[in-house]
Formats: sequence, C-alpha cells, structure tokens
Amino acid sequence: SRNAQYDRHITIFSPEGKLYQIEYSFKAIRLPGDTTIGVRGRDTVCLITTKKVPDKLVDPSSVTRMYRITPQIGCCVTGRLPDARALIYKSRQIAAEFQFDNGYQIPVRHLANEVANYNQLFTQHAYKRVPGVSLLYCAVDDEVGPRLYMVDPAGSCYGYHAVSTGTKEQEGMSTLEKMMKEKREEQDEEEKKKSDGDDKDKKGGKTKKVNKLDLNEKETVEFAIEALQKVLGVDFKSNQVEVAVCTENNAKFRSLTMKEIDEYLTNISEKD
Amino acid sequence: MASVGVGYDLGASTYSPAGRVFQVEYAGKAVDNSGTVIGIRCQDGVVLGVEKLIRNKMLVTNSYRRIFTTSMSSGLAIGGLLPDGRQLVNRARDEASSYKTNFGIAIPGKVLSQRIAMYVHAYTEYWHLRPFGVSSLLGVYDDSDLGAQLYMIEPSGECLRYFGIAVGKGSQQARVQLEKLNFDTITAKEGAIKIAEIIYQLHDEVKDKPFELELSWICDASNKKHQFVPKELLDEAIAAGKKAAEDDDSEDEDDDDDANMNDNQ
Repeated sequence: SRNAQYDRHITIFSPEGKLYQIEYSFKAIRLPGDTTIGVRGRDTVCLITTKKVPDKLVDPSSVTRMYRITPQIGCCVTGRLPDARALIYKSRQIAAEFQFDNGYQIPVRHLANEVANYNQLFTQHAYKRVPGVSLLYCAVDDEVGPRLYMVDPAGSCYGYHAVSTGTKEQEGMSTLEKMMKEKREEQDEEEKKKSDGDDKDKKGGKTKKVNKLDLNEKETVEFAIEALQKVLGVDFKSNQVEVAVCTENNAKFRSLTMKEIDEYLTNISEKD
Repeated sequence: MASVGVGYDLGASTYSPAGRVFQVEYAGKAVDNSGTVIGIRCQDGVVLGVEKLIRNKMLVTNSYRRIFTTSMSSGLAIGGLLPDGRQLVNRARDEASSYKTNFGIAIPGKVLSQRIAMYVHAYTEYWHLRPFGVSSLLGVYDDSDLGAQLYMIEPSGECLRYFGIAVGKGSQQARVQLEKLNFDTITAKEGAIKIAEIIYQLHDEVKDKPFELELSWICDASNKKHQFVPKELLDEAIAAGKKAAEDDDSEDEDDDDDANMNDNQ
C-alpha cells in the first residue's frame, strides 16, 4: 500500500522495500506521449522515435530528441526533455574527458554505464530529483560491432537486441519479441532450405540458436519502422517520426532525411 | 486540469505518483498571471513586445523595464516574476560575455538559448531551490544560417525555437492571432505594429490596470543590434494598437445594434 510518508523522499524505503520516487520517475517518462524503439542488426543500429510538433508556431527544425554524443555515438532521449538535455551534456562531457585522458573514442558500453552510475547517485541522495528520462545509446563499436544500450532513471543499464521505451513501452516490447521470433523462424527456414540442398553432413542441420537479429542495414531500419507502426496502430508520415542509424559502412551517427524515411515507408507498404 | 498535488508539490525534487513535478507546473502559473509578452520572428529580424501592467500611478514612465539586452545582437523579454527574470538576464549576459572572451565571436543563438535553458532547468532539480517563475523570450540575430531566431525558455527548462509566441495573461488568444500571420513575408516593422495591435486588443480596460507598451527589435534596420524601436515606430504602433482596439469595440457595438433591430421587427 502506498503510504504518503514514504513516497516523498528518495532515500527512504517504503515498508515493502520500494523506492516510490523512482517508480514515479518512470511514469514521468511516459507522460509526454512519445515512444522510441531501438533495433540492433548484424552491422547496423537503428533508433526510431515519434515526433510531435506542439503547434504551428514552433519551428520544426528545433524539435528533436536525437543527439550526437560523439561522431560515432548517438542517443535518443524519451521523457522530460529539460532533464534529458542535462544528461546529454553530461554524456558529452564524459565522452570528451575519456578521449582526452585515454587518447581514443569512448566505447559506447562504457559511456552508457558511466551515465547510469551518474543516475544512480540521485537515487541515494535526497537533495536532487532523479531525471525522468530514458536514454537509448547506440553506436557501431570498432571492436565489437553494433551495440544498443538503454539507461533508465533507476541507474540500470542493459544492452539490447531490440528495445522500446516511452508511453507504449509494454506494447513495444511484446511487439518486438513477436517480430523477432517471426524473423528468426523465417531465417531458420531459409537456413534449412540451404542445408537441405547440401548432401554433405557439414553442420548436421544445426539451426542458429543465437538470440540475435541477422539483419542488414535496410532490413534493420524496416524492422524498426514496422515495429513502431504496429505499436502505434497507425501508418505515420515521414514528418511524424525521427529515424537515426549507425552502420559499419558509415559508422557516423546520422539522422535519416524525410526523403529517405519516405522511401522506407513506401517499400514497407508495397511489401504488404 | 485541476489536479491537487497534495504532499507532492512541496519541492522540485519530488515526483507525484503520476510522474509530474508540481512545483515546475506551479511556476508556469506564475507566468500566466503576468502581462502578455509577444515575440515574432520576421524575415529581417526579431521583434519583442511586452504589455507592462502599471501597478502604481506614481511610477515614472518607462522606468519599469521588462526587455533587456543580453549581448549586442540579442535581447531577452521577461514574462512572469521580474526579479527572477533579472537573475536570468544577468546569467545570459555572463554567458554571452564569457563566450566572446573564449571564442572571439558573438554567442550564437542556439548556444545562448541552451545555456539559459540549462540554467533554468538546474533550478528544477533540487529540494533547496525553487524553479524560476519566468518564461523568457530570447530574440537573437546572428551570422549563422539561422539568421534571426526566437526562442522561448519555460520554467521547466524546455526551450524551442518559434516563429511567433506569446506568454502571460492573454497568451491563448494572442497565439490564435499569431497563427494567422505569414511568417515567410512579415517584416520587422509590420511585426512591431502587429504585436501592438494584439496587445491593445487583448488588454482588458475594465479588469486590468493601465499599461505601457514596450517594444524592441534586432533587425536589419537596427544593424542587427538589439534596440528599443525608434520613437516614430513606437508611436505608429501605439496608434495602430489603439485603433485596432477601438475597431474591436465598435464591432461589438454593431452586433448589438443588429440584435436590437431584429428585436424591433
């Protein structure tokens, strides 16, 4: 039961052992109404998020939730935007100091962990509010390949093959799991077809049990766009979403132009 | 949206069970109580205007300022609590001047707006501080691709670039009027006159105290420097404003006459 005396202060546990302020901060991520999806393929990471321009008076070019931390590492924020901007600046500071101290680009896993540790501080200090933001960091790391990490207000950081956050987080996760399962079954069937034509008992018909999405750049972006369409339940136009990618061929984090997004949307609708 | 944040609204470091930070929302209400502040980004510059409600008849004319110069080519108009606003102005001036010292060029609009926004946001995180009760309109005219820019920084620290925006008492109706403008063609002079018209039309003679109009711009005509508009333009704007307000009133009277006529028939 929610006892008002325990809810207010972040350092105080409730009798059930809960930290209510952190739970409330997760609600704050859902409030603005945006949903973000990230997908990691074989050589690509793609982030897609909804874009809502509040009214006609706003200059749409100033509305964005995709940020570049380093030329290679990008981040999509969801939740309270002013809190998000502070975390983006913190990320950039961490990345720049790492580069200065060590002479090479910060690996995205390390960056995500550092930001998560920073968030954790405020779950133990009463004087400062936990940021109501979830951050999706993505990069194509030159040692380990494409990576996708999510950092949340509680200070946890996990790597994902595919993840959704924001208002439709639950629906997003279940949609992504379903789509992943279908995709893997598709790929397993194709593998079987190839090995059926093979007389030699090379692999013994072993199917890929690896839990990842073996998609190229185009497939990864389409997977992400389709997932968001399913989650939102509507077909959106290119000016209602932001899409960003990093690929092995072009490791720089870049946002897709509206024209490129339109091409993907057309391809997807033609597939159906 | 009358939501009482009982117990969760005492500090900016507390979320409500729904995930809202009430102190920040209340700060926004402080802004809604002040006189209307309007900004328009025109083709050749930015114009800022304020409806300064005069609380005391003994006040010396034009001694009460709500628009401040923050650098050569940027100005900040304050909507909400003026003392809070002055803090922001000082901070903005420091940021602009230290940027110039460090980098040798005038601070770009994008950078200055982010710095002010981050400063405002910092005051929304801590138990021992309260948020600024200010929405500030920042007008900048720099040498970047963006040219003339208008930003609004809200008490939450949210900052977006606008074509036109209004905050304060009459902001709802002012925004409706602003949406009708053609931002691709409007000039700074037209913008100044339009702001005056909107402010005079929205000012409620009966309910509100008398007011003074403060207008400033950064535009080609002022050599990209932030200045108060020249006296001739200010007089022209005030005259246009008064006329617009009268036209509004007389329209209402005509409607009454028509209604009377129908009754008599």
